[in-house]
Amino acid sequence: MKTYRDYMDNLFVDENLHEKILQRTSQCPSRKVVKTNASRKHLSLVASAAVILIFFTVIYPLINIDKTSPKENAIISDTKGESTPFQEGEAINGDQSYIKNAPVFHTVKQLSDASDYIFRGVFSGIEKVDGATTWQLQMFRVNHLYKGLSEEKEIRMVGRTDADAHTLKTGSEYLVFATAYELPVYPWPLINPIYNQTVFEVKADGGIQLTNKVDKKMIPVVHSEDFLHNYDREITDSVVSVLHQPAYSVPTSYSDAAEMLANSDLAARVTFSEIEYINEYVSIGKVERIQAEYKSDPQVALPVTIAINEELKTGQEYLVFLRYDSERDGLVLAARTGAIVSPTHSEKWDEVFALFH
Amino acid sequence: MAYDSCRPEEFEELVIKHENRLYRTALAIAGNRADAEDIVQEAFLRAYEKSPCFESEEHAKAWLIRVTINLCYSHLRSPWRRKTTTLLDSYPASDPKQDELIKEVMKLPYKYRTVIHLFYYEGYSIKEISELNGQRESTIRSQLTRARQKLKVLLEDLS
Repeated sequence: MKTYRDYMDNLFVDENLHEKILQRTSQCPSRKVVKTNASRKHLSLVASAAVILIFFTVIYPLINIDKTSPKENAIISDTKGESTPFQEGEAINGDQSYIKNAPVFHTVKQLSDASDYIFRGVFSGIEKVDGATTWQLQMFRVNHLYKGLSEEKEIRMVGRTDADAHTLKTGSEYLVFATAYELPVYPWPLINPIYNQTVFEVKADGGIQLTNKVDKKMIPVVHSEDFLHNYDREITDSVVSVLHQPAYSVPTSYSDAAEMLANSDLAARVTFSEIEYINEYVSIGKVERIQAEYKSDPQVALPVTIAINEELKTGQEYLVFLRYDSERDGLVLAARTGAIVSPTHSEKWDEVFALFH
Repeated sequence: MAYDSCRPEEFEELVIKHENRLYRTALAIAGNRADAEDIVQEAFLRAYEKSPCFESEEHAKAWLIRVTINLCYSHLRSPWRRKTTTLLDSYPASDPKQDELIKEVMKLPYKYRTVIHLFYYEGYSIKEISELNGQRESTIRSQLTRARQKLKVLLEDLS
C-alpha cells in the first residue's frame, strides 16, 4: 500500500481551510471555564435554582400536556438524520464551504444532465409527514414533463421547513430541476431540487421569475436573459430522453416469492425486540433473534437494525428479504412492498416456506 | 501535553498538529474535497466547544480521528444525494498506477475505506481501529479481509 500512502502524503490542508478552521473556532466561545471554590459554591446555588425553575416551567407542563411517546420519539429519532430525505447543510446558501468544489452550472445542458426530473407544474400545496420535523412534501400537478419517469400527473418533492425553505404560492406554476434518490422504505422517489434552489416561478407571460434566492456563482445559467425567456426551447433541446430512469432505482414489488428471493442477498426469519417510530413511512426495527437464515451472501451479515415500512409487532416472527445497497453499504428491504412477510398473511407465509424447504 | 482549556494559542497548535491527518482521513472516507473540508472544520469546532482534557498526544489524535470518522459516517448515511467532484478530480494522482489504485479504493464501501486508511496509512492495529470505530475486532478484521480481497487483484498487478 505504499502507493496509497504516497498519494495521501501529498494531500494537505491549504491556507484557506486552515484559516477557516481557526476563524470558525475563534467565533465560538469555549465552554470550559476555570472554577474556583468560591465560584463552585455560587454555581451550585445557581444550578439548583435553575433546575427547579426548568422543572416547573418546561418539564412539568410537558409531562402533563404530552404523554404520547411515539410523536416525541419520532422527533428525537429524526434528529439522527437516518430517515430525513435531505441533508443538513446541503443548501448552498448555508455553509459556504460547499461552494468550493461543487459543480457549477453554466449551461442548460449541464443543468439538464444533472437532473433526473425536469417539469413545469402547479404547486398544489404541502403534505405534512407525521414525525418529520425538518421536511415536508410539496405537491405539484405536472403540466409538462421535460425529463423523468412519472406515471402520475402529480409529483411529490421533498421540501425543507427550515430557514432554507422555498416560498411557494399555491396555484402558481413552477419550473423545477430535481435529482431523484430512492429508499425502499418510501413509496416514491425522493425528489430534491439541485442545491435546494432550482425551483423557479413561471410568470403569466411564460417567462421565469427568480423569486427564491439562486446562487449566481453556482447556477449562473439561470440568470441569463436567454434562460429566463427561452427556457422551454433550451430545455427541450438539451434533454436527450424524456423518459429518463434515475441511475439508482428500487423495485416496487416482485411477482412472487421466488423472484423476490432471487433478487435478495439475505432472507431470514426474525423477531424484533424494539420498533422505533421515525415517521409515518419509516420505523426502525431492532433485530432480537434470528430463527433461521434461508439465503445469505457470505459478504453480508444481518444488520442489528432494519429500516421497515410496515406496522410490525415486537416479539412476532417475520420473514424478511434484504438486498445489499452499495451506496449505503448496508442491507435494505429488497422491494418497496412484499419484502416483509407476516404469519398473519398465511397464504404468503406458506408460499415462502414452501420455497425455503 | 494536556489541554486543560482551549486557549487560542494552544488550540492553534492542536490544529497545526492534526489538521492534515484529519483532512486525509476525511478525504479517504468521504471521498471528496468539499465534504472533507466541511468535516475537518466541524471536527475542530467540536474539539474547541468540548475542550476535552487530553491525557497525551495519542489521546488527542484518537479523539479527533474518532470525531472525524463519526462526522464522515453521518454525512455518508444521509439519503440526500450530493453531486460533487471525486477525490481524483481535486487531487490528481502522480502516475497511472496510483490513479488506478485510488479509483479502486474509492469504489470500496466507505466502511472498508475507513479500515484500509486507518490500518495502512495511520498504522493503527485492528484492536485500536475497533476502539476508534466502536465495532467488534472480528467485524474490523472481516472488513479488512474483504477490502483486501477486493483490492487483491489490483494490488498484485501493482506490486
